[in-house]
Amino acid sequence: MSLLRVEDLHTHFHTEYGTVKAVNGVSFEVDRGEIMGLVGESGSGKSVTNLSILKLIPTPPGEYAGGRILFDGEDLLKTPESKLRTYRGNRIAMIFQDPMTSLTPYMRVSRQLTEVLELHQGMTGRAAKKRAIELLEMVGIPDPANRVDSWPHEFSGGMRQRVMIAIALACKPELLLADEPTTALDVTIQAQILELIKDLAREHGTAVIMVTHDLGVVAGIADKVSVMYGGRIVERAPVEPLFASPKHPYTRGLLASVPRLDSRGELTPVKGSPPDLTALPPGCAFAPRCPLVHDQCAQQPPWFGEHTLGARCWKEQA
Amino acid sequence: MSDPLLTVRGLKVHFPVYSKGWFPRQSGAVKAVDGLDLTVHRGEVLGLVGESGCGKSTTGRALLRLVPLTAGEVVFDGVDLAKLKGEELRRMRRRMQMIFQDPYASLNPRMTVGDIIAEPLGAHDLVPAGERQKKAQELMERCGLDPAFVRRYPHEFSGGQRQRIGIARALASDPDFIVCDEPISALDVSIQAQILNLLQSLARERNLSYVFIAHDLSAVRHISDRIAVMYLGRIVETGTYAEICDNPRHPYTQALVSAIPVPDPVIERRRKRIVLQGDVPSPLKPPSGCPFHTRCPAVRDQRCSTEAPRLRELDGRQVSCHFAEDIGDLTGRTAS
Amino acid sequence: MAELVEGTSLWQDAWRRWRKHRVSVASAVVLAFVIVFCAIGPPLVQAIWGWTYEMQDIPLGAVPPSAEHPFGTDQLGRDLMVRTMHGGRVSLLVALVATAVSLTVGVTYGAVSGYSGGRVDAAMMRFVDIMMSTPYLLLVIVLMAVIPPSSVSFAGLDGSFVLMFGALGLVSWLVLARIVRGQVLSLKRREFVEAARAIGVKPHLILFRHIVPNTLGPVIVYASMTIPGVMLSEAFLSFLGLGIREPQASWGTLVNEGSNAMSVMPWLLVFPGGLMTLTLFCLNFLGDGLRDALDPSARKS
Repeated sequence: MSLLRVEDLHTHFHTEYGTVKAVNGVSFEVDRGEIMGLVGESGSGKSVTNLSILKLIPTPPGEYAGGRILFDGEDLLKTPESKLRTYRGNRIAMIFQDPMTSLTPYMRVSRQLTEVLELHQGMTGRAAKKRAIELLEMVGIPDPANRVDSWPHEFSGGMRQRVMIAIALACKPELLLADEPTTALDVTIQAQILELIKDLAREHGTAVIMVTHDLGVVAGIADKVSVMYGGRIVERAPVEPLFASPKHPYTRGLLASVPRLDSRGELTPVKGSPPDLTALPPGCAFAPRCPLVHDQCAQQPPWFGEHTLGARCWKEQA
Repeated sequence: MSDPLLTVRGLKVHFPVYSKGWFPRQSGAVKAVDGLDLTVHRGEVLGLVGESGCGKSTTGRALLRLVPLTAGEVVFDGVDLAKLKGEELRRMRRRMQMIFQDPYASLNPRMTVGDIIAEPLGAHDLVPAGERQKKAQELMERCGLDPAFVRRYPHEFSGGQRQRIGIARALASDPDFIVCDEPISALDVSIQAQILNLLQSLARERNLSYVFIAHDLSAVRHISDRIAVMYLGRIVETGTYAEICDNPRHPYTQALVSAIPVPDPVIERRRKRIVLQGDVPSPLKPPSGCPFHTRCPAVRDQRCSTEAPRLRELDGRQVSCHFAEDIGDLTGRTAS
Repeated sequence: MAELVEGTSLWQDAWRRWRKHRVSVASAVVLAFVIVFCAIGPPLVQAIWGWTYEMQDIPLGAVPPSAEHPFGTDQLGRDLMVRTMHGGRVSLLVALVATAVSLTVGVTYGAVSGYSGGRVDAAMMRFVDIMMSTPYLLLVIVLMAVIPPSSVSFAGLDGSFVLMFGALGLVSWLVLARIVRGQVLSLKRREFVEAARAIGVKPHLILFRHIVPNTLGPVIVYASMTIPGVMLSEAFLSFLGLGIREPQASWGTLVNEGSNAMSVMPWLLVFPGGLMTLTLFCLNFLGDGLRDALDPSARKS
C-alpha cells in the first residue's frame, strides 16, 4: 500500500466566467522515500492538485467534485477539518513557491519554528529553541545559534526558503508537498535546496511531491514523473524512460522546446497556447496543439488506466 | 564580425541611498554596476548572465541610458551616449530599443495594440500618421500575431502574444541594437521556445545586435554568439558560448554552469555540482578585493581579498581571476 | 486585409461591470432625477404657481404641505418646494465646482510632483503637508472675514458663493494631489513607462499619455466620494453663518432652519433633509459601484 494514493480527483472552481475544471480526474500514488515530479505549465492543474491533498483550496469558489485522496489508507477528503489540522505541518508538510511572502513578517524566525514544534510535538521553552537551532543548521543557515532570533526580512530569499524548509522538516513529515520551491531562487541556491530535499527523502523516508515546470529540476531529483496538461495527467513514467523515450506528444513537444546547457540543437516549439480551462474540448485537451491529431482525438478523451504507466494518447494506444 | 557597434568602458551605475527626513541627504550608494567593460559587434548576440542582484538588468538599462550613468562611457556607433542630452539622446533612441521581461507590465493597458506598436513611428516621425496602423499590422504579422487584432487591448492577449507585441514595438523604428531583458523568463515553458526562435530569426533577417539578458544559461547558450557572466556589478568572464558553457574557467562561472539542471536524468546523476556556500553579498557593501572571494571555492591567499582582479585575456577569452590558470576544473572533471 | 476585430478597452470593460452593479446604476438614475428636479424646477414652479425662492407671504406664515404648496411654506410664507430646489442648485453647484477644482488642480499638481521627483517633489509635498495641517475652518473663517463678499462677486454670482467655492476648492484638492502623486510614483517605475522612455517618447507625452490615464480610476472613485464631504462642509459653514446668506438658500441652511422648528413644523426639516440624505446616499452607492467597476481586483467576492 502506497503512502499516498490519489484516485480520480476532481477539483473545480466556480467563477463568473463558468466552472474551471482545474483538476479533472487525476490519479497517482507515491511511496515512502519516493520523489514524484508533477510537471506542467501554468494552468495545468499541478498546483491545485497539490493544494487539494491538504484540502487547502478555499470552498467556495473551489469544490472537491469527486475522487479520493488516500493517505496511509485514510481518505483525506472525508477526514474532519479538526483532524486534518493535526496532520498539516506534522505528518504532511508543504513548501510554497514564494519565500518572500510565506513567512509571517511580524514574528521572529525562532518563534515561527517553535510554534510548529509546540503545536505538533509538545516541545516548549529551551528544548524547542534547541531543536529550532538544530533545524536551521540542518538546512545550512550559517551561525544558526545567533540567527535564530532574526526577523524574516533580515534573511535573503534563499535563506527564507531554507527557513520554510526547516519549518516543513520540523516534525519529520511523512509526506512533503513542494510547490515550485526553487522557482523564485537563483540556480546556485536552487542546487542547495534540491540537495536538501533529496537528503530528506533518502534519510527520513519522506515521500515528496515536487511540483515544477522545470524539466531539468525533475530530471535531477525525481524517481518518477507525472506530466499534467489541461487538468489531467497525460503521461506517467519512471524518470529515465520518460526522458529517454517520452510517449505523449505533449511531453515530447515540451522536451524538444527546452534549450539545454549541453547542446545547441534547433528548438521545436509546441504550437499555440495552453488551453482555456473553462472551455475544455470534449476530446483530448492537447488536440488543438498536437502534431499527431486525428479525428478520434477531438471526440473522446483518450483512455488511461488509473495507475498504469504510459501516455494518455490515442496514437500511443493504437 | 570585427566591427564593434557598442563599446562600454569602465561603466559604473551607483544608485544613491537617501536618509529619511524632510529634505533627504545621500547616505550611501548601491553599486549595481561597478566598473564594467563590454563590446557588442554588429549582428552579434551577446548573452549577459548572472544571478538576481548581479546588476545585469541595470547594465541593460545603462546601455540605453535609461538609468543615469555614474561613470564610464557607452560608445554606440561612434557616439558616446553618456555625453548626449535631452533631444539628442531621444533621437538616438530610434536606433536602440528594448524588449522587457514582463509582458503584462510593459504594455500600457489603456492603449490599443496598434497604437502601442506604432508609438515609435510617431515619436520619431518615421511614417505619416495615416499609415502608422498599417505599418503596425505588418509588424504584427511578422511577429506571428493576427493583424486583425490591431484594435484590441493588451489584456485581451495571452502572455506569449503580449511578448510578441513588445517585440513588434521594438522593431517598429527599425533599430540596429536591442536589449532583451529576460524576454522569456515570465513565459510558459512551451511558449519560451516560440519567442526564442522568433528573436533568433529576426536577428538574422535584419542583422540586429542583441544584448540578451537572462539568468537561464541554457537559453542564453541557445541564442548567443558570445556570453558575458556578471557577478556583483562586474564581468567575471566572457567568451564564446562554447567556451563559457563547456569549459568555464572562472570559479563563479564553473559553479553557475554546474548548478544548472539538464533535462536528462542519466547525465544529472553523473554530474558533479559545485555547491556555493552562503548568499550573494549586498551591492551596498561589496567585499574588498575580488567580489567573489567570500564564496569562492578556490579562494587562495590574501591577494583575493585585497586586490580586485582585472578582466584579462586567457586562451582567447577574458577572465577576471588572479589564479585562473591554476585552478583548473573544480568539479574534478578531466577536460575533454 | 481581414476585417478588424474591435477590442474592449479597460474603460469599456469597467462600464460593462458598472452596469451590472444594480444599486449603483439605480443611484445614478435617482441622482439624475434630483439634478433635473433642482435645475428645471424653479422656472416651472414660477410658471405654474408664480412663486420664486425669495417671494414672501408674511401673513400666510408657515403652512403644512398642500396642493398649492406641495412642500409647505416657511415662517415668512416662502414656498418650501422652490426653496428646496434652489438650495439643491446651490449645494450641487458647490459640490461640482469644488470637485472640478480638486480634479484639475489636484491631478496636475500631484502628477507634476510625482513625475518630477527629487527636490521639486519634496518641496511641493511639504506645501501640501502645511496646507493640510492648517485647521481648515480657521483658514475659511479668516478668508471670509478678510475678504468682503461684495468685492468678489463674479459673473452675476453672489460674492458669498464665490468665497465658498474658493474656500472649499482651496482645501479639497490636497488629498487628491497626494493620491495622484502616489499613483504616479508607482506608475513611473512601471515597465510600460520605461518602455515609452526607451522608445523615445517625449516627456510631456509620457506623463499625459502613459501615466495620467492610468491614475484616473482611483481619481474618479475618490471624486465621487468627495462630493458628499464637500456638501456637508458647505452645510456646516452655512450653519455657522459663514456660507450662504439669506435670502439665498442651500440644503445646509434649509436643514439648519428646519431643525430649529422640528417639533412644530416638521415639514421644514423633512423635505430638504430628505432630499439631501437621498442625494448623499446615492453618491455613496455610486462611488461604491465605480470602485468595484474600476478596480475589480479590490472587490470582495
